[in-house]
Amino acid sequence: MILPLILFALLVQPAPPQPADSPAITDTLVKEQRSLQSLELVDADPEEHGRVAVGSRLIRRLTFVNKLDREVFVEVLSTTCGCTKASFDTLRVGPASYVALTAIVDVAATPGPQMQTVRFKSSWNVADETGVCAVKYEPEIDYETLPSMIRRSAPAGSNLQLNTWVHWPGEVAKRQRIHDLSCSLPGFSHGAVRAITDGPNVLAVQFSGAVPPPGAYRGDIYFQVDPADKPVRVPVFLRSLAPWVATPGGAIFDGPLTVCAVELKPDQPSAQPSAIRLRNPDAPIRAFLEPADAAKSVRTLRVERSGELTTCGGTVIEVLDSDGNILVLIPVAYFALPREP
Amino acid sequence: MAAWVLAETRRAGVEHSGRWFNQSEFPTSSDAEEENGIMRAYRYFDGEDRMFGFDLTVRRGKVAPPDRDMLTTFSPFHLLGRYVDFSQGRTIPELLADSEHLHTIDPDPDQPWPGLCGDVRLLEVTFTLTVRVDPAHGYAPRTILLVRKDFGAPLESLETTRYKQFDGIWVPTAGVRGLWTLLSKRDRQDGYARAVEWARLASDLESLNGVGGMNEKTRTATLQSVRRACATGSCTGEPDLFYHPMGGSEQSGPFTPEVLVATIVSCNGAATEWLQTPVERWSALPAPPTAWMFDLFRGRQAELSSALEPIRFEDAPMEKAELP
Repeated sequence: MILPLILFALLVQPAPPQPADSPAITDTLVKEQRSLQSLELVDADPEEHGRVAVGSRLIRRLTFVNKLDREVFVEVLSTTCGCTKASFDTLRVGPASYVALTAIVDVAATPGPQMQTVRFKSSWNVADETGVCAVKYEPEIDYETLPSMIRRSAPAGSNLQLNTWVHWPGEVAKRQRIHDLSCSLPGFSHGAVRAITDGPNVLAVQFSGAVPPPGAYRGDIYFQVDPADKPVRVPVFLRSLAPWVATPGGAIFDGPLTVCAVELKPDQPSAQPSAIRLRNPDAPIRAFLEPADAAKSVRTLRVERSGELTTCGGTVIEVLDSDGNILVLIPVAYFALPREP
Repeated sequence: MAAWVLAETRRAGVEHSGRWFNQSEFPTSSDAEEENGIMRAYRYFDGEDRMFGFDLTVRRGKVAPPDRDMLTTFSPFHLLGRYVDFSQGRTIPELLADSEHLHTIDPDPDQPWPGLCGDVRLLEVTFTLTVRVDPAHGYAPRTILLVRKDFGAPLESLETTRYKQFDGIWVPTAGVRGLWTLLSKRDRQDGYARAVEWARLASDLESLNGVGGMNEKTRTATLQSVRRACATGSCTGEPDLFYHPMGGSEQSGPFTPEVLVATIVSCNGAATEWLQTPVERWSALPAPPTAWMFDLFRGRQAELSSALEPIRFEDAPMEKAELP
């Protein structure tokens, strides 16, 4: 995720054509590394590390000698992942002198074969060139759980399934390894472990429930996966959507504005608006539903400030159906601005 | 030599149900995935469980639950404060309503907008959250600053430098995000010197690209904001620690601040037809028969067509000993 964020970068010149007499290196190096004009690789740790434990640190050290008859400057340009760091032990390398590049990879729980690369630059008074150092490995993953957090939006009153996924790479999933399921989100206490058709090494920890009234809700899903010694915790953020939408979504009174019209229209099948309620009845705000037009599905809410504003504050207008269910929430803010002298 | 580069161009749509897509192009330094130095990617989230991520350059992808994708990719939603609460997803009004020591702040010469300031808890750490609103643009957030209270070090800053009104709502169309990190001067003397040097280089913004289409007023505001987001400094009570733009202590240089320039096509309506017909669009992607995806839900590599099939549940397998 780091790469798309990069805004600064060093300008990199393309590597020059490879010399025909490049020294042979027995290691399985990336091509550019042994084609450098300025640096000859004289020693290198293996590129391939095989299966390694998650959380372990891989270190690959490469030693070069300066082949030129002049000083070269070396620097690391980039790495392919935030998990990878690299540095040279010196930045100026005299003729026939040695310089070591150390690449360090912190192994994350990413399934499958991985390759991280370090791009570096060698420059001298008339030219520069780039080289690449690679580190290959495959994390040993017992299992992985995804996502690390659940963010969902769903209409109020609808039925919703919240799924967390447990994946055993290369291993057939067994339900018995998952137990002690719980969810603290209101209305979602019943959980089950479900299998995926055509997915032999994936299980879903699934909680089902009805979405509560409009608003924001938070909770946590917990479950235990053997043989881990502590439960998996997945935070859940649920935004329950009102069945009607308002345009604009709110109203602000800060000056000469005394009234504004808010258009309401259904976003989900639901009853018609029939009542208004102000959460802060002391707010200098009044709201009226204009009469319904049978030819239109939209309704208009008229919001007014009552008198001169003498204070700052806010309230929320609740538009209700005949049973008292919330159809839409409309926040209102008001500001008593100082008058121009 | 330092230079500003175009990090990414992106076409994106987000729907209130949670569905979203983005199609992006960005330069890459990865030799393994390079094709003329540009990567093209498409991602679509179905609003429920599955995010389809496809690398159009190397023609590989994955189907997986979305994680923090929307949090990390700078968008107008960040400028509205939607992702300030990276721990619980609260909105700015919800955060401020829960905050301690909430008080108003007056406009100042550098940031001439009124605002609110209070302490908020995120992941068990106390931050001071300052939000300045712009009365000329419907009281939309103008600047948002999150400062770690114990060290006096900024973590994130967001500043909107241009708005456009849709359906009565002012939507950010340009802005700057800064992200900072901490480092020990004692442990990383070279990193400290490098971060200071980067901050000096970043103050020369004449070479800043990617801000085309801005008028003079927006450009000036953007450059002022970038300067604020390049700050490097010592931490309160911890003289050994210093803060600097994220990545600024590395040889490759920082990857923040970021400048966003957006064109809003639609608001409060269908985002784009891509959100209406994602599967059809997905099937029409220029992918050869060799294209494949890793489908986490099925735990294996799959062809594009089968990766698009809906997930079907069945009873979980039981151990023989537990079968009735």
